[in-house]
Formats: sequence, C-alpha cells, structure tokens
Amino acid sequence: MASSDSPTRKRRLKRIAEGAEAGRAWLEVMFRSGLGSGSVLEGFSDLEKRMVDSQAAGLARKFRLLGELRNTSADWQDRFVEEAGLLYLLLDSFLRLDSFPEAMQQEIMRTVGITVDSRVLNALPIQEDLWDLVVQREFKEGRLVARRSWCYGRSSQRWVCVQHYRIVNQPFEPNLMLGQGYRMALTMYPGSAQTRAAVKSYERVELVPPLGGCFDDTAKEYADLLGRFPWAEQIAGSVCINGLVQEGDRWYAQDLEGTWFPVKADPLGIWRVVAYSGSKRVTLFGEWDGREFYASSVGTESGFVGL
Amino acid sequence: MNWAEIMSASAVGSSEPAKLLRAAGKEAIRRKAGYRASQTGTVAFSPPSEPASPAEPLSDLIRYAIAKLPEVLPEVFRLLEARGFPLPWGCLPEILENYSSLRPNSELLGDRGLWLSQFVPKWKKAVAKEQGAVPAWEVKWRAQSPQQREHHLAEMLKDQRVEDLSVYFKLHRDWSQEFSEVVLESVLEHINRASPIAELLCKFAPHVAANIHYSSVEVADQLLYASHASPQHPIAKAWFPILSVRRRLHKFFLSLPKK
Repeated sequence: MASSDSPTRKRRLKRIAEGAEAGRAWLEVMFRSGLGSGSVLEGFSDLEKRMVDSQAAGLARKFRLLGELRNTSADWQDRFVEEAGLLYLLLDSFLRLDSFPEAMQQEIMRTVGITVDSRVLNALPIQEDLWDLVVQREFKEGRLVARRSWCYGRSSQRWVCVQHYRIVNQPFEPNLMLGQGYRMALTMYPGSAQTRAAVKSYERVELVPPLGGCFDDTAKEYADLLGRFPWAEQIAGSVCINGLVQEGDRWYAQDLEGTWFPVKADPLGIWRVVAYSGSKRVTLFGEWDGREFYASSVGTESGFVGL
Repeated sequence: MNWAEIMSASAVGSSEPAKLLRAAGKEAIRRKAGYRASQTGTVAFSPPSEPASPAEPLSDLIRYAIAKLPEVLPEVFRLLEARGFPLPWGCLPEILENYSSLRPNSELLGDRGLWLSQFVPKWKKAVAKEQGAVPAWEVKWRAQSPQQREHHLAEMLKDQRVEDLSVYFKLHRDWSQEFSEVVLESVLEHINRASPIAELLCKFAPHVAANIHYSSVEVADQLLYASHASPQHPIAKAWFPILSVRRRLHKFFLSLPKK
C-alpha cells in the first residue's frame, strides 16, 4: 500500500484487510470440510454483512453472488468451485497488494470496493469518440439497480464499459439507452484492464452498430483481458451468426466460421434471435464471460433490436 | 492439479484448503481464458424464406405496447392489416406468448410467425386453438353496424346508463369521428365531478384514448388542457402515453409510400 495514503485511508485499508482475512479463513473452513458436507454451505449473508462493515462493497457482492450460485443448476458445483477459487485469489492478492505493479493494485482495490477518488479521475486524459451503445444489462443489487453499458468506439475501435446505479424507481443519471449512438467524452478508470470508463459529457447521435466478427475474436479479447486482470468478469463482443441450436435448456450459436458457442438471453429474447434467423446478416451483441455469451441485442438487415 | 482432481478434493474436503482454493482459482482463469468450442452440429432452425416485414421499425413500439399499453394493439393490428403487412419479426415472441389474450388475426403472424409458433408447445396450442364460443348477446351486439352501435352507446351515455355502458363500451373499437366527439364532450362534462358516470369514464380512460378516431386526438389534448385536470388525474394519466404511442404509430404509417 502506498506510503502516501492518508490516515483515514490507511484505517479503511486495514478494516478491509481484516475482512479479507476473515473471508479467506471462512473459505478455508468450507474447503477443509468439503462441499459434500452441506452444512458448510451456510453463512454467506453473514460474510456479506461482514464485508459491508469492512467497507468492502466489492467483496460483499462477490460473497453474495457466490452464495447465490448454490443449487442453481445441475452442475453448479463446477461454477461454485471456480468462483470460490477466484475469490480466494482476490483476497490473497489484496492482502499482499504491495507486491503488484501499480496498475494491477488499482484494479484490485476497485474490485474489492475502493472507489477511485474523483480528483484522480478528473485529472486523467479525456477520450472523445462516437460511441455506439449496443450491449446493456441491468441488475438489482439490494436497494440499488446497476446498469452496465458497453459502447463501441467508431474511431478507437474498442469496447468500453460504463456503469451506473440508481435507487429503485429513480432514473439513471446519465440515462444512456441501448441502441443509441453517443458523442461522448470519457475518462478511463486507472488500472491494468482499461475497459471501464466514466462519462464526462455526452450527446445523442444516430446509432451505427459495429460490424460483427467471429466468436474467436471475442474469446481472444477476453483471454487478453484476463492476462491484464485475472478477475475481469466479462467483455463485450459482436458476433455474426449462421443460426442457433437448442439442447435441453441450453442454446448454442454458430458463427460464420462454423464455431459453436453457448448463448444465453432472456427467454423471449433468444426466440427473437430465432425469429431473425436466416436473415442475410445476423449479428449478436453481448457479453462473454468465458462460459456463456449473454446476448443483449441483435443487428439484422432490418435494423437493431434489443433482446 | 487438474480440474477433475480439484473437484473431487472440493467435494470431500482437503487438509490443505488454501492450496486447493489457489489451484481452483488459477484453473478457473485458465478455463475462462482458454475456452474452446466443443459443440458440433447443424443449425436447427430453417425459417421460411420471406422478406422481413416492412413494419419492422415498429417492433420495439409493439413490444412496449404489449407490456404496458395493450389497449393500442387492436389499432396496430388494424393498421398492419390495412397495409397487408405481417407483424415485425422482432415482436413475434411477445405476440405468441400473449396470443390468447391479444387474439390477432392469424394472418398477421405471417409465414415466419406460424413457423416460430411450432417450437414452443404453448404457442403452437394457442395458435391452433379455436376461439371460445361467443355469448348470444355479444353476437347480437357485434351483428349491428358500427353506426347502430354508436347510436346505442351515445344514448346510454346521454341517459347515464352506467351498467349497460360498462358491458358494451369495451366491445366497441375504431370509433367514428362523430362518436369520438360525443364521448369527449361527456369526458369534459364529467372529468372534475364525482359521479357514477365519471367513475366509468375513469375506468375506461385507456379504452377511450385507444379508440377515439385519430383525427380527434388533438381535440382530446385540448380537452385535457381546458379541463385543468391534474396530470395525476386517472384520465390524464391514461391518455398521455396512449395518445403519444398512437401518434408515433400513425407517423410511421404516414411516412410510408402510398399504396
């Protein structure tokens, strides 16, 4: 931890470190007993509260999501062990933060829940471009609703993610809409991932959806991102598809190179993709998390439609 | 440790949990970064070859109407039928999901909608199902000409026959300009009163906004303004979104080249 940290910040980091120690010990107890002994799979909400008390909102969220994975599908244990392992590595890494390069330290701190000081953010360079918002998802987080929007820069040819929160029944500010183009000035959050941005100013323009590529481009981009920051949860992508196939409750899409990849969407959303299948050029826009491509919208020769 | 070893150790427990968790974390990153498609097969859906509906730009608006303002859908269906357009593909799942309550003419589904309906048993059943028997009084009512129906409804309004109105009002759609103005006058007269007829007009406010003749939409706006009703008044609350969607709908059809 940087020696220039203020006493208040030092106290906060100490509290988070104590929470991280507790979280790590709790995971160790669970994996010492084994997941087969169901009784150890309790206590997630206590851990979540403990992390909130430690002012580590990011860790609290991760413990909550880990708890929510239980019994969600037939193969939930696979996902659970992956996420528990990733969380353990994150706690480990936070506890030896000083051993990482500065850019990685910033990502780790933001992931555990330490927000970037607005003065730091305001001093960073601004990137201006025309951005097309083609991927957007909303999640309820307690009394808050989080909205993650991915925009593709027409000149920069890169994806950036902007995240906003609102209290239930209140509008988002700014209220960026799926299927809308924006002339935006953005500041990239400091760190090694370089995917997350803060909006400085924006103005609506007509949407020009990005061209779709093959699935491997998105998978490779995500692998590169994991190389820069191993806890990156997802990246946006646009993939042109030939069509879909359904196997039980799972869906797969085939890209133009013949590669199949697992696809998920809202129940009626996936049928919307089927409804457009066979069109000249169908492009799926969504998020890839290394396991599933969560489709958020589809582009066809008739236009752009949110799923 | 490979993934199978990690999973079996996780199930039974390990004397070195830290080592196991670190191995699981590292393997998780490797698995996420190294995803390789293993699925093989052929595309399962071969849709009929037909061009997309010219009404495709209305897809989002129709989905919004299904979710929030179903009252406007009969007009959407009428306008599409008049043009000979099938429903936009983008709203077909919502239409099929709500087919029994929306009851569009099955021709509006087009080849694409009928094809899509085959894949979900609930949709297939709904599209194939004959509509239930219509009560005799409704058959009689429907057998009347629109002019006769409007004449009767206007009489009921004048005589404030609330019960009769409540039964027949909802069966009448696509109002003439003359009848629209009769109803609007009645709304203006009762909007700030507390009476059974005022309650009925509040209850049927979405129906009124969705069915008044399109040329009377401006009159409806002026009426609300003249009434000084609060924006929270049930009639104002129901009318604003419906009239706004109807304007967007008509703007789209007016923008199309003439048939």
